Amino acid sequence: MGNGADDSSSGRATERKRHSRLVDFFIRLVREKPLGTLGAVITLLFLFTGIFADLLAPYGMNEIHPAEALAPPSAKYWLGTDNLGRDMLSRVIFGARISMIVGLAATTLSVFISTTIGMLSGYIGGKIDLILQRFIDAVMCLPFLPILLVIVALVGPGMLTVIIAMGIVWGINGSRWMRGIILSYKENMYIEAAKAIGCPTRRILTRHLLPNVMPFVITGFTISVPGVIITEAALSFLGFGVPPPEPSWGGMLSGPGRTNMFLAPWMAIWPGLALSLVVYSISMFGDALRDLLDPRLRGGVGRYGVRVKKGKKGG
Amino acid sequence: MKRKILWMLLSFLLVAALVLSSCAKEEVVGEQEEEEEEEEEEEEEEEEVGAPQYGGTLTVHRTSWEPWTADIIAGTWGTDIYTGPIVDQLLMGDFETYGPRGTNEFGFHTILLDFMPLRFVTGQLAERWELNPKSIVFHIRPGVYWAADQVDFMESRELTADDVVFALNRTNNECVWLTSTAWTKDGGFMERIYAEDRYTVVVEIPRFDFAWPKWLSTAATGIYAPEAIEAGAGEWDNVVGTGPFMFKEFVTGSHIAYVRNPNFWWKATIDGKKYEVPFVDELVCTFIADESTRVSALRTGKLDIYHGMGLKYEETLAEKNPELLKVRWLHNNTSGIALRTDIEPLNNKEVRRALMIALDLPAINKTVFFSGEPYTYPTRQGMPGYIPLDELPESTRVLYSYDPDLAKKMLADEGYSEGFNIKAIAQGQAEMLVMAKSYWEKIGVELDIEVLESVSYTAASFAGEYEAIEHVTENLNVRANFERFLSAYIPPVGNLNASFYSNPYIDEEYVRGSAIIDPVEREAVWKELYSIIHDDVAMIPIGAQHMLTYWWPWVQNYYGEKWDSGADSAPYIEAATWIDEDMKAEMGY
Repeated sequence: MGNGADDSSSGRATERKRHSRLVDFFIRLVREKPLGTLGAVITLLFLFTGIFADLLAPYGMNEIHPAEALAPPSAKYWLGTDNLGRDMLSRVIFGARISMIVGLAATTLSVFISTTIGMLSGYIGGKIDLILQRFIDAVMCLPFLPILLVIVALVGPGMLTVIIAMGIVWGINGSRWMRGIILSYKENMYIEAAKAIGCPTRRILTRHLLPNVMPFVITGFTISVPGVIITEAALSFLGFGVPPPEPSWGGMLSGPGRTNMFLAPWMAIWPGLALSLVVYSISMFGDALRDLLDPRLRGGVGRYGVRVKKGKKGG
Repeated sequence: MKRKILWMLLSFLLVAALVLSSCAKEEVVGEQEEEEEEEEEEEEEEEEVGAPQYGGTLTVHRTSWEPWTADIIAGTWGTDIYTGPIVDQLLMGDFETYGPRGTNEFGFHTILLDFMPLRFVTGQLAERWELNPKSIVFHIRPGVYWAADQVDFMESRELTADDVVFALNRTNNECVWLTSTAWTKDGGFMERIYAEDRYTVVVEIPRFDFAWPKWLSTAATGIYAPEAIEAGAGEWDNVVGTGPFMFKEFVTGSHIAYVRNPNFWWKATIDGKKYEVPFVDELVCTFIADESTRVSALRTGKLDIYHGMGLKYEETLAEKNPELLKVRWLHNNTSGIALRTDIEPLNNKEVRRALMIALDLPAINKTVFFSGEPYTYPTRQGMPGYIPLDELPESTRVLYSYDPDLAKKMLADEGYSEGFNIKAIAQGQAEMLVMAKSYWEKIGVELDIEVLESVSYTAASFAGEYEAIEHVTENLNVRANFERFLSAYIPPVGNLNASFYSNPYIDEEYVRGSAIIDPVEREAVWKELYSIIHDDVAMIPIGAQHMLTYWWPWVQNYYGEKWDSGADSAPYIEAATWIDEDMKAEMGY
């Protein structure tokens, strides 16, 4: 008896997994989704850049060198300086902190809210669904940005306020979409089977529905992150976002980057490039994650941890 | 997969190209910066004035602000920007005699009457006037007719003293946006206004006020026809005046257009000869909100004159459109950081002085404004009460030295060796405060900046919800400048005195000085008061910025004079300007 099971009819031998699910997941990610891996690496790089910005940045976030304002990239200032003589590399590094944290945190919160509301509303139905959806109808009638402005104006500007405000508003708006997905998935036979054997609602939602809609959740997450980052820039531009001198990529783009675009195009290029890279990376990673996590790909040669050995065909 | 990689590579190459092209600018920018540093005088192109030509359209950008009404009384400061071509005032600047086309003693880059020495002021509808301690008498110019050809509710009759009296009384009684306490205090500056005869207007005043040109010939005192007021002065079609132009059309978001008044009373003098004006058939004032769009309009010849451009486009325009003519002038406002003089620790004068010494003011001025003049506070060169920097006492002169060590020592002497926090509010990019934050960090002072949108900012400034705030003084308006330091203007009455500065001696001496008729004696009072204000550092001044006015060579008999709110000479300047259509066609526009 070996470790694996012999499949004599196809002549291939399979082995049982020797690694944990997480390790197998990363092995599959690297082997089967190289672009996704690259995206993950870049995203993590930016995330750690933001976290360790104080150590990585060559200059302070607001350290001014007025005599060298609007200096192009050089050996001293790798990415040039802005209109106040601040090092662009340092600003982009510190901006990663704001933009990534705001983008990821607000999107995570919004996904959590939209998934929760969508699942409850879509699965339970009845009066709960009716009440929730009418409330969401009312929220969706209002323009998105003014709602954010009102929330931020009431609470006061700041990073946490921006995260919570955007998370709530985007989450409520996204719950309608999640509800639609749940409505179709709850009609599947395996849900009926789970109900038939007496599974509680909580178990059905978390064990059966949630894993099946996870690809949509991840896709929605990756689509939302860039929008959240841009929305944060809009809020900052209007004075409701992260206040200066704290840099955010969107704020750098929409503020001095735009007004000085002719004189110092690097002021817009670098934060724009960083933003594009993060968006692209998260999208690639999200695509890979969606494929790897799709339960419909469980079993057969796609099963986690199952290694396929090529062997002689039986005869 | 391969396609994705290919797109990634292409994107990378595109970005690299952009980066490399921006790196290549270093030497050119450096050279041009050196040229700019060597420039000490305004650039001015003098043209020979050929024979005037009649016809054509003059397109001007003055401001992107749009009026919501044609009635000055119901509008606000700035409404007269657009009523000025139609509606005259009593006085105006004598740009033909003293401006660039005359003796060039005064640039007329901003035309506020209470800035100009009185000798630079001439009559518009007032032919001459008499100043008395208790009255001002205006002798109205005979032979001026209302331009009423386009309306049916009145004839184009002669302007009389009764019309002027009607207009001034309307301003005195109905203008709600003139909140200056000097205007409304004690029943108003104008106690009684009446016509002594067909061409004589008497304004009885409680006491002489040096700012009388501002009260009697300013935005709110445009002389509308009484019949136009009765027909509804808020409608542009009903606006009837005696100015060089008549209303044609108002297109919101685009422009306002005027046609020439064929019976305009004023004649332009060119090379000693008088000409009927306006020369152009039509004057168009655009409302273009975005600065880069305005620059594009100028470059493509859509705009003939662009007032008030920031300096950041100067280099690009010099490169792409070297044929454009320009003049550089200093903005009338001085910007700075107002400090709450009533809140600890900023109520300590030495602390405020330390904060000012900790800032490199010329560096901040140059960085924020591209080009400007740091020493324009509390008033500027050429203004009454101005004291040159090298004539200031040492205790004031030291404020302009950048010395963080001295600043730190001063704070320590006052018991703030550990530093302290200051909360500041601002709008927009808050660049002055951002730079101040960086400098103050070195002396242990932490500045927390809160950037607010305009409504919240206004509310917060009126409520005094700050310890420091970005602020401006109006240097070219003595009265408005002093309002920043008088107790009567502390919030919530208004937000002009953003420092909450209160000095009873200043309050009393200002009232006394305002009533002095002799300008020399009055100036001595201003000098003393400015010295006190300067030393007290109610506001840390960053200075004023240079602005540009551009025009095309086909715009003839124009010398870059700027318009500004107040007694409006600009339409007269524009009336005396003509378009050389042949030159314009030759240049391909």
